[in-house]
Amino acid sequence: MKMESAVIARLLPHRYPFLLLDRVIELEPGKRAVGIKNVTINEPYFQGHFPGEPIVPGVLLVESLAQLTAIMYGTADFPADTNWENPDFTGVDFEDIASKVGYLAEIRNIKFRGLVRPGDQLRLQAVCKNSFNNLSLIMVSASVDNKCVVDGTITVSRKI
Amino acid sequence: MALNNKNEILEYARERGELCRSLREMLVEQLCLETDPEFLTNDQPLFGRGLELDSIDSLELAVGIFDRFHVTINDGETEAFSSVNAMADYVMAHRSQEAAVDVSAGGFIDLDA
Repeated sequence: MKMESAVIARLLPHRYPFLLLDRVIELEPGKRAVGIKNVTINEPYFQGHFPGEPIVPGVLLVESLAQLTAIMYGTADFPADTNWENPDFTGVDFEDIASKVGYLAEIRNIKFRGLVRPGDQLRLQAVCKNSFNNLSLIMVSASVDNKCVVDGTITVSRKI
Repeated sequence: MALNNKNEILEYARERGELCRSLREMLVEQLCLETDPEFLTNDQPLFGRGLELDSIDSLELAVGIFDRFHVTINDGETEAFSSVNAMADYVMAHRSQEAAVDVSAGGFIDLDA
């Protein structure tokens, strides 16, 4: 399974310079997702974070994970018989799904365990632990070269 | 639930007290409250006035109840969180339901135990 950035952009309301997810490589709609974010020296925030020592801000790692989470729960609205190996997306209301993406409601126990620099490929993972009403508790983590750089839990809301 | 004799009533009261104590501990732990669980009362409102919890906290409580008691609180059943007693009612009602499902799925009750 591979979801490219063009499809991701239809499922999320985020745009440049804040679309922080390049690809989704594993997906169980509503349950878990694995995504990729490639970090390049061209990221605009490296201008100031920090001059001469480019490091991805931790809050943006959390944002990448939150965007992956939005894909995970947005795709739960796809038709049940969607063939994820070769999807044609007929009958999918992308606009409706993008408009229901909510907000980060809580960030808890997030630990930043390593620095992320230009050239690193982030492997992002989001697993839904529990949902109640329009809120979901998600266990998130990201790694670079199989080494964990951030993990913890976030709570996200969904517009109804 | 029909309670037929004094021993059953005492047993029920003991179980209920134990459950409420466990729920108060869960509440403090799950929400990182800086309160002693013993200072909470079972009828104290948790939302609005009272403990002033909000919807994000209700998700945390749903997680805590699932982890500790294996009971799922369904969407919309927010009143289950209105007090410790309300949570105890919900857990008792649904725990016995789930136990009943286990029995019908091939479990057994050892009557001699």
